Amino acid sequence: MKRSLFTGVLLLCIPLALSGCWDRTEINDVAFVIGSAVDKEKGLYRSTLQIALPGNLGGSGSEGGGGGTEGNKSYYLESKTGLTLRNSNMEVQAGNSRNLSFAHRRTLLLGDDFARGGIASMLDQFARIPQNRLSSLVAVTEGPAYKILDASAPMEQFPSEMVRELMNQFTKRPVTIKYLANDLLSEGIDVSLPYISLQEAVPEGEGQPKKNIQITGMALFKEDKLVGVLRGQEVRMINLAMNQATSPDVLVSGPNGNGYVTIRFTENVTSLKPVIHGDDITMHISILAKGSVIENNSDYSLGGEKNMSKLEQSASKEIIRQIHSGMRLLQDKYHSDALGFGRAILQKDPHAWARLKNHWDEVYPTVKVVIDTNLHVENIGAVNKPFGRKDKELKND
Amino acid sequence: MGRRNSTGNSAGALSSGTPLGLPSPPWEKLPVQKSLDQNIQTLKTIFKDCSDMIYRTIDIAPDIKAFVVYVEGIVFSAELEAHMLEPMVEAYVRMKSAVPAERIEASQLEPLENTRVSLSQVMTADQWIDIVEGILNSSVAVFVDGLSEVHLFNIKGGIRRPVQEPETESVIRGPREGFTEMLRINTALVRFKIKTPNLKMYSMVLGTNTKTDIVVSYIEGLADPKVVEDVKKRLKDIKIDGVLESGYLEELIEDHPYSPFPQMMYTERPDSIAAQLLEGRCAIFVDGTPFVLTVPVTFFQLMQATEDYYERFFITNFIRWIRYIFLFIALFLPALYIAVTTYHQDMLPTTLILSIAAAREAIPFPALVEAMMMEISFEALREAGIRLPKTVGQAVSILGALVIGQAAVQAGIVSAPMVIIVSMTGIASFTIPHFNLAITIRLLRFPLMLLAGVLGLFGIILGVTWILVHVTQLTSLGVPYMSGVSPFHGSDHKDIFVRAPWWKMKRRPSWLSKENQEREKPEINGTPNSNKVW
Repeated sequence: MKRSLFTGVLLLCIPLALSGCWDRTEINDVAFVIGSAVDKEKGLYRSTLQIALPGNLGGSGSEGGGGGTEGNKSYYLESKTGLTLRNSNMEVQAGNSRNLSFAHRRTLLLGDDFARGGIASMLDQFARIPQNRLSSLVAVTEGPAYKILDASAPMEQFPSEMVRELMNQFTKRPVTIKYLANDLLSEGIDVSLPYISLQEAVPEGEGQPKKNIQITGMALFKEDKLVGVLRGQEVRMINLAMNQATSPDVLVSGPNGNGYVTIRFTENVTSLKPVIHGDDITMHISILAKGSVIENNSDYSLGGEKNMSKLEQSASKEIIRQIHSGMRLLQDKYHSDALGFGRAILQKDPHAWARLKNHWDEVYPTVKVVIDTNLHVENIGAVNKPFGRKDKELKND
Repeated sequence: MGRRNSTGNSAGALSSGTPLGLPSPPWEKLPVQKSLDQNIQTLKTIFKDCSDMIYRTIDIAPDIKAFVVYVEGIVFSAELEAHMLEPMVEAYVRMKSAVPAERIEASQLEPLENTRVSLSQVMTADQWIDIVEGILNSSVAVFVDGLSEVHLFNIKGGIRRPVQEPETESVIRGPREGFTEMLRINTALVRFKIKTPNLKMYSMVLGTNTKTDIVVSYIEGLADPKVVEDVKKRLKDIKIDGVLESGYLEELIEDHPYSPFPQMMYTERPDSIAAQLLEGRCAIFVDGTPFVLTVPVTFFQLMQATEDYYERFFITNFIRWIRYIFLFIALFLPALYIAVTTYHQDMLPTTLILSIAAAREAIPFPALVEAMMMEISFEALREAGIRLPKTVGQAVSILGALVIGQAAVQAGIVSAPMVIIVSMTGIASFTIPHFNLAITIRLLRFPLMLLAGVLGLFGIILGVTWILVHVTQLTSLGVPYMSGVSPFHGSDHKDIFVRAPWWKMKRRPSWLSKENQEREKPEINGTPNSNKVW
């Protein structure tokens, strides 16, 4: 007892004398990489890192500290090229007085030029070095990715944080590096990533041109290469078909052809069910959704069961129409199996998939898509008749 | 030694007449003489230069003188007047006025305690050593001319603190009385609560100079007889010149003197002592201190407060869990902070690590140095707060709050998160109900911080492993310190991490009363509803 106590105290004293061997990394000696962008430039990787400047974050006691900061931004960008991604990161490190820590990278942005050339080769270093968290979110940008990193994000401290929040809103399960690698490696599904571009914040020509970060589409991949971008209304509905939509709104034109009723589906579940007859495959996409009316600027009164079921029917028609038009692009134009039809077949009937997978590229465009919807509008809000219209203007069946 | 009434059995005996480190006095073996003058002479030699001695010669019968000796202040003087001096004088007056003033011998006198002195605690002695001891232990010695037997009337008194609210263990709900410095008041406070002859009060005297009364109390049939014997034996083996506080005994008899963990509990609450006696523990009362020791204890007992058993169990469980959470905070928070900020920056959420980084940006010290500095100054503040007179104490708290809390942060010497960490640990350590465990936790924090600063989380794990290994092999009077958890015993878990309602806790702790475990009739069956009469 006495001996072990003495030994313990003695052992604790040793490190005090060995302070030269201390290998701590004080937090002031770490540069936190908050986001990074990968672009292709003349056959080289261009890696742009967004590094947080804690001195400009406004913590108390930090006044006067954090020298070497430019402007009042809470981050700065550093960009270098290299033969490999890691190599270009090391180039950035060479020009940085603090140790780069990639553990807090929120987003990884891929320029569309780079993504067209294939993304598989860069993924190795993320898995190899455990400090590179696989939880960073991945997105494809319109134009060079580093431009997004330097865009203004007035709501958040960092643009990359803003991208992350946008992606969290966009899908139920945002694509992290882990899911990206998972989808890349597994059979019967192609990767799809959010597509980010800069949008005018105010109508063009008015005041200073201001650009905001926004998710404007869905980047579709074939294998590891970007093949196209889905834009417009279809994005939301394809997202719904992928069971990834958080709360999609559907604009239904009024049953009398006048104005629109907007329905937001706060709860939705989608499942794929393949029916396989040789190479003749029918994919049933069944959508179960509950939602509420959030706007009605038509002259249609919503009260009554009959009116509601009519509304649900037209909403369902609208959803089916949009998914079909999206699927046509996916199947015929881009040949990208973003919904994972192949995976659904593999799960339902592995033998069929074993037979199909060799000529899946030919079969995929011929898959018939049948969409079953089961919509339920539960809530029409506080008013049932359009609020700003007189009763006699209303049309009812 | 002669008779000794009502002050408990004297099996403990005086440890030794010779004060340690002093030559044995010449009067040690001398008997009392018959001649009063000779005795007075001896007495005055023994108590030479003792200005607090009171000598009084008094006639108790015609031609028979008595000599009364006591120490001023330690006897109850009102009782002395009313029950001894006054009756003696009155009796003398009566005898003198009785017609033939017949001359009688001293040996023919009725014994003093039977006819004159109406005091209950009396013993006779004829050896100087016993007489001197008696006088010093608040007895009044009465020498009678012609008798070699001396009467010692014990009237312990003098000014002592009354029963007050215990300051170190305050409760919202529960008895407000606390122990005092007087042993017999303390034992009485317990006796008020437990009215069974099985409540034993085994007394002994320790300290060759202080001759401090010690009482080992236990309930026969509940306490493990082996533990009781062990306590008595360890106490009897003590040879020391003075015992001024129960802390002396704690260090002298504990199982593992080199362990930082307290292996005994002390309290100044009679209700706590009563509860522990009822569970089968032993209590050690020491005269002159309000702090009563209990043995054996477990770690979990030190995490419990008396109030846990008075409040309803929902509240108690909530509070008990808070205590356990804060125990971990008190022990690990600074170490974790150091480890995370100097080695594992990837472990915190991004926004948190960035705000810590922002606050630490201009701090000149490594996190370990910063933490050590702050923790040590906090301990110093706490110590200063206790030691300083109450009037100055306020100044310390203002200085501490302003200088360390605010100015140091503004000056960029310490970071604001560090101040938060230190205050959190400070508060956390005060939630541990027993101060001796709290101070242990505070002590262990420092090696853990050092380990965290040197080896990161790995170092903390090393430290935790060491503490766990140590704590599981620790014993208190032979009872494992982690009893209930290791060795595991199911029914004990009703009162370790949770406190079951009283109608569920039907058994006493298994490690204490091995024979007699049942404390509630099972017929009640744990459902208060089944007793309902309406």
